[in-house]
This record gives sequence, C-alpha cells and structure tokens, in this order.
Amino acid sequence: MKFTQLKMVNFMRYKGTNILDFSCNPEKNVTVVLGENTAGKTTIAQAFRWALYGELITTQYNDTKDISVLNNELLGEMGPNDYRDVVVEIDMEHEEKKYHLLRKATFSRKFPKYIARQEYEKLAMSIKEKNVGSTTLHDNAGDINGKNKGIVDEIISELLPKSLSRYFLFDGERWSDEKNKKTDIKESVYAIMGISPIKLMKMHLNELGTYGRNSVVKQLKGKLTGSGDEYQKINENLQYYLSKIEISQNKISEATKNMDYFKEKIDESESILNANKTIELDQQKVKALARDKDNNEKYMKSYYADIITSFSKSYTYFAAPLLEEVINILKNVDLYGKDIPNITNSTIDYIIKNEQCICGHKVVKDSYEYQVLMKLKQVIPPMAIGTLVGNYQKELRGWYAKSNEIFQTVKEKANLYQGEKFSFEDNENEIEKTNKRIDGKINFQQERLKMEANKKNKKSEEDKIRIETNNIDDFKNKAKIYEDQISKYQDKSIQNARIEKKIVYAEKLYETASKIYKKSELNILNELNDIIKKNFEIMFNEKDKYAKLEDDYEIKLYYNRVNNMDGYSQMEAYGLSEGEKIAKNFVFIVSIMELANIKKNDSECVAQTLPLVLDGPFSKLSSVNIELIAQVLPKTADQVIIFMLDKDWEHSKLEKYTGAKFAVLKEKEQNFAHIEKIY
Amino acid sequence: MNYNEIDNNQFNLLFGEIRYLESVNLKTRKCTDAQMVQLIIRKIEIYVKEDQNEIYAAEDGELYEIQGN
Repeated sequence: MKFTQLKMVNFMRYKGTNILDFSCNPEKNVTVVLGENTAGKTTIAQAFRWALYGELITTQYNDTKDISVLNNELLGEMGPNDYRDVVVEIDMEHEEKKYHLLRKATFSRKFPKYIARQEYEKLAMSIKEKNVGSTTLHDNAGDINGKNKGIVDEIISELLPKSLSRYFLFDGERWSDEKNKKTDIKESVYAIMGISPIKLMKMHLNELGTYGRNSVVKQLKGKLTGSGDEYQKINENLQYYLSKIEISQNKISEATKNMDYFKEKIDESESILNANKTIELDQQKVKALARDKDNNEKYMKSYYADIITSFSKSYTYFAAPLLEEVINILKNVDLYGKDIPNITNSTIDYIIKNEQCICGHKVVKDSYEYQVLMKLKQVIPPMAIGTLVGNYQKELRGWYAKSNEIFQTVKEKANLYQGEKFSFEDNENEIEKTNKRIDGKINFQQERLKMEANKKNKKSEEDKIRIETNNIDDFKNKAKIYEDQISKYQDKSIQNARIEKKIVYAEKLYETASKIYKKSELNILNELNDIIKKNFEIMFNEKDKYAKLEDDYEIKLYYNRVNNMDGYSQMEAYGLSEGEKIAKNFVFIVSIMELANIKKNDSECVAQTLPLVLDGPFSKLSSVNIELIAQVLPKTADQVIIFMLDKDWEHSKLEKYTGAKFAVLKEKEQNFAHIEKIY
Repeated sequence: MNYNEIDNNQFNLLFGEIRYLESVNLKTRKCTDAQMVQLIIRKIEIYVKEDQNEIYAAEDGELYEIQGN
C-alpha cells in the first residue's frame, strides 16, 4: 500500500491548490516535507486524516471543534452569498489497483463574522484495476437505489484500518503521550495478526453466542435426548442457569456501555479542569483585547471629530480653483507703489487741520504742501484700494495654501479612522472567539461536581460488572454440574451415541484450535518483543535499559542485567524523562509497523504493509538520536513520509533514502502557506 | 467415547479441512457465523459417521461450493 499523491484545495493553511507527489521508488522510499514551526506541516497530516476518516487531530493549540478546514484567508474574502469548496484528494496504489479518494466540503460564511458553516460534504472513491483498465466509482452516500451507503468508509477501513491509524499516521503532539493505552496496543497487535482462520474456528466450535450456545459443541449437545422426571428436572435447571448467564451478560454489556459513557464524561471534565491555566490566560487576553477595543473606539471618535472640523473649513478647498483665478487677475492690476504704507485719509485731514506736517513744515491752504497732500489723498485709503488689494491678495494666498492642507488632513485622518476600525473589528472577533472558548470551560465548581457524580456513576457500573461477572462464574459452575449430571440420564440410544461421538470430536477440535491460537498469539508477542528490543538498541544506542511489551500489552522499560547476581535485572524504570517516553513510543510504533511488514506474506495474517506518515518525530530528540532513528525508518515500511524541521534534516542524514523532497513556505505578510517541490 | 479413541489421522484431516473452510470463508465471506457452525457440524458428521452409506450429498455440494470447487 502506497500513497502516490495528495492534493489539497483551500485546506486549512493552504489556499488554492497544493500537490505533493510521494516517492514510490523502493530504493528511495522516503518523502520529506521540510518547514519551520507553525508553517503548515501538521496541516498535511490533518489533510490525510480528514480525507480518510473525516476527522482532525486535536493539537495543543486547537481543539478540533475550533478548527475549520476552510482556509481563513478565503473565508475573509467571502461575501454573504458566496460558497467555497475544500477538497482533499488522495491517490493510492495497492495490489494492482489504483485508488482515488476525494473528500469535498462546501462552506458558506456567517457574514459578517469570520465563521465558516459547512453546507455539504461528499466522499467518493474510484478504483482502477491496473491490468484490466476498468474503473469502478463509489459514492459514500450510496447508489441511486439507496444501497451501498458507507461503502467508501468500508473500503478505507480495509485498506487503512482506523485502529492502526494511530501508528501509521503519527502526529508529533503524541510522541511523548502516555495515553498509548494497553487496549489500543492489544487491538493493534490483533489487527496486525488479522482475524486468523484459527480464531474463527475456535469461535465457531465453542464460543459463539452466550456461553457458546450457538456454537458447534453446544448445538450438538442440544441434540442429545433424554427421558424421565430426573432428566427433565436437571434439564430445566440447566436451561435456567443458561438463561441466567445470558441475562447477566446482557447486564454486563449494558453496564460496560454506561461505564464507557461515564468514563468519557469524566475525561471531558478532566480536560476542562486541566485547561484552567488557559482560561486564566484567555481571561487576561479578553481584558487586554477589550482595552484595545475601547482605545480603538476612542481614536475613531477623535479622528472622526478631526475630519468634521477640517470639513467645516472645506469651503477653501472647494473654492481653491476660484481663488487661484482671482489671485492671477489681481496680479495684473497696477496699484502698487503709489500709496504710503499705513497712511490714510484721516492722517492727511489731521495734518491739514493742524496746519503743520509731521516733518515740521507749515501747511497753509492752497500752498504747495497743501496741494501735494490733497493729491496724496487720492491714492491712499479709503480713496485708494492698492493696500486693501494687497492685503486681500495675502489673505487669498493663505486660503489657497490651506485648501491643500485640508485635503491632506482629511485624507490622513480618514486613513487613521479606517485603520482603527479594522483593529476594532479584529479585536471584537477575537473577544467573541475567546469568550466562546471560556464559556465552554468556565464554572469549575459545577464541572468538578459533575465529574464527581460521574465518577460515582462509573464506580457503580463497575460494581455491577463485577457482581454480574461473579454471577456468571457461579452460574457457569452450576450449569457445568447439571451438564455433567444430565449425561447420566440421557437415553442410551444409538442416536445419542453418535451425537456424543461428534461432541468429543468437536471438543477436541476446539481444544487443539485454542492451543494453536494461544501459541500463535504468544509467538506474535515474542516476535514483536524481539523487534522492539532490537529497535530500542539501534535507535537509542541504549545499553542500560531495554523496552518490553508485557503479556498484558503494556510497554515497560527495564534496567539491563549487569551480572547474574544483580538484583536490578527485573527492575522497572520509573520516572521516565521526556526523551525516554518518546523513545518508548517511537520504538513501539516502528516495531509494530515492521512486524506488519514481516507478516504481510503470512497466509494466516491479513495484515498488509502500511505507509508510515510521521509528523515532527524528531523535535525533542538529540542530533545523535535523530540520525540513529532516521536510519531505521526507511527499512520499517515500504513508504515513509516525514514532516520535519529544516534544522533536523541535516542530522537525519536521510538524503540517500529520499526520493521526493518538498518545502512548506509561508511569506511573512501572508496568512497562507504553499508547497514547493525541491526534487 | 473419549479423546484417546479418536483416530489421529482422521482427526488431523478433519482439522485441516475445517481450517481451510474458515480460511476460504474469511476471504469470500460467503457464509454467516451460524452457517459456518452448521457446515462444521456436517463436516464432523462426515468424519464420524459409522454407516458409510449415509447420504450427505446435498451438504457436501454446499461445502464444495464454499471451498471454491
């Protein structure tokens, strides 16, 4: 099974179409995608998960509920009646078939908010037989007759079982996660072993139905006949206990369902309470944002007032062409140089009245001096307008200069106003988003009470299961007694003898199948443990400790035996460092994939080799360990796809195994990323 | 009758046949669990029947069909 291509259209950080062609070269089976932190590497892992299973990985930054698959930039460009598609397409190859998977979601925008609303989703797959050349199309919604609903989900679950997705699609957030549960591991081991024919044989022979009542052995036993009161009585008792077992089993399955429900609720409450710290931060954030928003509003008001004030003087701006015209006309009027600055008619009248000039000369009526003054009277204000025109021109020039100033001021203030308005809207949106997040988590006391109540409920369901399990053991013992007794009262007929013979055969078949199955399970565990031990040693160059998968499917780290007398040989290593936790999980993931690879040709096992997609596997490891691990990866699976930081690439020394290399690029001023092919 | 009285060769043949039947059905998924139980019973009957003249032709036909013959 290999991925050949991933195509993303408007998916999360990736605006427009971005394509990754994966290396399918067996010699260079590694495809590397390099990028800085938060550039968009994890988004590619999200694209795989969304296309295959219609879900997203929860990251430390985002809860899946808060993540929209529609590109944010595109959302911002959408109007109230616009629709945009998000598409992820995956091309795969497996056993002479080419698979093309398409998941498409159509979104509208809750205008004017920056919230995308999913309107429609489509999941389709086409399968092309390489040799035959024929193509079959499947729609997950079913065909025209309403049949085959969910068919694409079924095909995906056969090709890439979701139970194994936690290993082949491994995201960086979980590298040191301790939540790799025992049950998950057990499930994965079984998925790799496949449903073996032996397991089915065992079930059909003696385990099908309650207390195996639908199985071969019990069906045959039911055919035995008997007679007499004692036989009837024992048979009735037997049937009574069998029905009691069935009732108890129903109660257990009911209680298990309830218990799982309460457990889920407890987990939810715990994660809400653990998010306490982020709430505090969120609350601080809201306060700061509200402050910013108030400031935005204040500035908006002040800029608005400035614009109004400037506008009240706008007559100069609108009159500017007219003013220019007047100034030009006045330039051509010859009125300059004939008056005396600041001397008016009143000054001349004063001199004539006093009959003496300010220079001391006598001014007598009709004298030469008198005549000069009378002439002067003709060219000075108010008789002359030269000075007035001059002053007027000065004023006009002032107004004209101001007209341009007003335009600049209004423009500048309008820009500032617009900027504040955008910030105001952004802050408002962010407040709404953060408040929403807080609303979902707030009220700790109530949440704690809810959690306590759920813990009690869970405990009571656990008690029920314990009681009913004990009851079943008790009923089984009693039923066994009656089963043994009944044979004494069965008819000694030829028919019964034949049936008994068949029962003996069936019971021996069951016993043999059980032994083989147990042995095969043990073999798988041993094989897996050998691989784990080998990989732990290679990948972490670890001599002091070793990793082991226990019979109860728990992975533990142990101190190595130094000598035979050393008591530390069986000592479990507690208090693991972050690096050791990663090591433990890393080794298990790689080992389980390696085992699946080994088992692909095993007729008893339906497991197939899965591609390994690793997101940020090296971020918390030393450069030495990066190289050691990286050198093992190409041998683990037929195809390895790794997203990693630029800085880890050199340490990994993966160049010689790499068939395709890409870089995730994000410009500083852009909010979206794009993929560039390096080779 | 007890385990010791079972003919080992016969038993091994029977075991192999049922295992093969399960393996074929795992791939073809032609039969339900209940049908598989009935088929196994018939297989056992064929092996333990004392009267070789008993006719199981119909059942055998079905078995062959599932085995892909």
